[in-house]
Amino acid sequence: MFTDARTLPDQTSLEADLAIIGGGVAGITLARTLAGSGISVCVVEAGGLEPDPEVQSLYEGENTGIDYSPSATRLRLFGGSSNHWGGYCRPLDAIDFEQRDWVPFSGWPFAIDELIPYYEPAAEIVEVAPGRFDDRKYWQRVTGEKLPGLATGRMRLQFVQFSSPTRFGSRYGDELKAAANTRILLNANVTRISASDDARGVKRLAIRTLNGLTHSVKARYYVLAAGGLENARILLLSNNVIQAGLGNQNDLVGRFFMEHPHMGGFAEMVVADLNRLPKILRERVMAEGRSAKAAFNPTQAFLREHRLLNATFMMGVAGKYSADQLPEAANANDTARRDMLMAARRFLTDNDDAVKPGHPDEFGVWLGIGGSCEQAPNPDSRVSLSTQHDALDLAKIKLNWRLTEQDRLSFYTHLHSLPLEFGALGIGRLREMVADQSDWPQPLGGGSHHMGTTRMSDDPLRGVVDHNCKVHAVDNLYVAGSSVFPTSGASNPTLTLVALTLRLADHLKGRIR
Amino acid sequence: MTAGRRSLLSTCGIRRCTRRTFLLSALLSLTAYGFGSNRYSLANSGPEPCVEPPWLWKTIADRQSAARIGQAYLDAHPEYRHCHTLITDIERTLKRQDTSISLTTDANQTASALQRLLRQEYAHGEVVSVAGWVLSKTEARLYGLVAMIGQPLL
Repeated sequence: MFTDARTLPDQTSLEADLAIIGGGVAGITLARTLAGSGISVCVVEAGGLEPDPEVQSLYEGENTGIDYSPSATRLRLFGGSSNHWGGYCRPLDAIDFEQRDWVPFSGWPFAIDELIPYYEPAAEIVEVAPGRFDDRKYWQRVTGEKLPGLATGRMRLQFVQFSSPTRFGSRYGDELKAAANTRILLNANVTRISASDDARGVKRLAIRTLNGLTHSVKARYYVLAAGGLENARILLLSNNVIQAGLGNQNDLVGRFFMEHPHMGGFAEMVVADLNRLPKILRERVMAEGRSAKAAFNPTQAFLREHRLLNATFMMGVAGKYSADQLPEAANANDTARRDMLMAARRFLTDNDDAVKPGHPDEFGVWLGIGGSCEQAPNPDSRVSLSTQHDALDLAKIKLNWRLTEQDRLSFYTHLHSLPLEFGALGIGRLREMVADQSDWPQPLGGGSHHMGTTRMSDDPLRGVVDHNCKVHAVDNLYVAGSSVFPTSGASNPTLTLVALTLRLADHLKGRIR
Repeated sequence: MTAGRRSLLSTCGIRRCTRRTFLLSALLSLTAYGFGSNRYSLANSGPEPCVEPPWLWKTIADRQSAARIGQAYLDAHPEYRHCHTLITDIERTLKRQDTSISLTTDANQTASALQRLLRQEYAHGEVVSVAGWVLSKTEARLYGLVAMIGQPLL
């Protein structure tokens, strides 16, 4: 059932076994999984069914770190940020879960094995199943192209599968609407999670609407699933008992904010014979109804040996050169690319013959390379409360996203691996475009991946939630979503957060019954 | 003063060089440059004439492009601004990889060996940066060699 909180009588009080704050990817996944279980669920969603600028403006905030928009990188409506999701799916790597002595604050409370049973069901939910994320033989078979064996031991090929992308609100809304035990409360802004006097439990959720109404939701259990920025904000705002905010007795809520730094324009590659670069390495391919593209990721051995953070790179054809264009070069970059294509031509084939391009006029291509990387958990990279207030008179967030030298050096080390791989294969030559590597490539942005602000650790001094995603010292409050990630890896977080939510659902089923 | 000009002056000697010997030297050098693709032509390389190795043009697809990249390499690595140094270095590296290789009799074999060598150097991270391009050391030196052979004389 859908209910618009703006249409309820003022000071309505609703009850359920479980209240879920947020109707985005995690919230909808959790509600769907519990539908039919006999557990009554109330999803409290701050937005409506359609985008609304007034509602979206509640996500605005102050930014004091790397240039970043707290409002443009998330969406406040049913379905949440799945409404602008790009659809990239790949699980985290096993090493991402490990405590690595060269990565401060690293280590999940469990190994990847704990999540493996949930990854395939998660792949079904985001509509990419079956997941073939590291199945090289499969992609060779279905594309009919032999994939190169990387030669340096630095990099390996993995495969990103693309969801259509699944818009969780429209895809699963009707299903939830029909579920007997599920209520979706729309346009309902949680202004506070009210704790009991001893702060060991949550009593109710205080709700306010933009048309001036106040309501409450009371439940036996609560799951905060409002996204990586808002989860921290709501806990910090919930300070009726613990002044620093609920779950924040150790000053960890909002700290360790992580993104995946995304860069472009830092390198390009020329390839004389495109036939030598299988299509799946340079563009999305459709096979057996699935869309996929190869990504270049560091091997775990290389990460360990050089004590690096994780990263991922993908490439795409950016331009072609035809034989009849050769004498004239448009600019210095064109000259440089053409010179390299012509000079290295005989090295970019498996035999001594001249390269045979796929098209008689085609002389070669150049490819752009995009990359993103893991950032090390950093307590100074954080979300806190601003002195500015929103239309509901709540403190806005103040975001201070910070990166470290370790992050940057790690990224450049991986960047240096790419020309070695392509040179060793005789596929292409790569040009690094960043003159001063003492700084990040520009422009530097994020992937709208908000992680780490309610990090998971069984040690309350190192994490906000425990391995079950329950807030330390609060008996009936859990957190879902990528805010619980202790480390980010280099994979987009959606698939993993869905898998984690399915795991949480199993835990809650056992606990609530 | 260009390298070519320096070379001419050193060939005939700055003090003793008459107009006639200067022009003769220039003619000889220009001839060498014009026949640069011949296997044993002379080319300008510094104090001594440079004999192009027979395998060079089996590996380089385009002389001008390679020379432009090679010049960038030489600008950053002036210690390699001697074609004998470059040739010796390249051939020694090749022979280290394949002791049985004959560098004078089979240019095709040498070209194939060079290609294998370059790939090995990439695989082992034996690379240099040339104007942003990440090139195997031997590849960069090959282009440097082309740049030296292809330099205009006057």
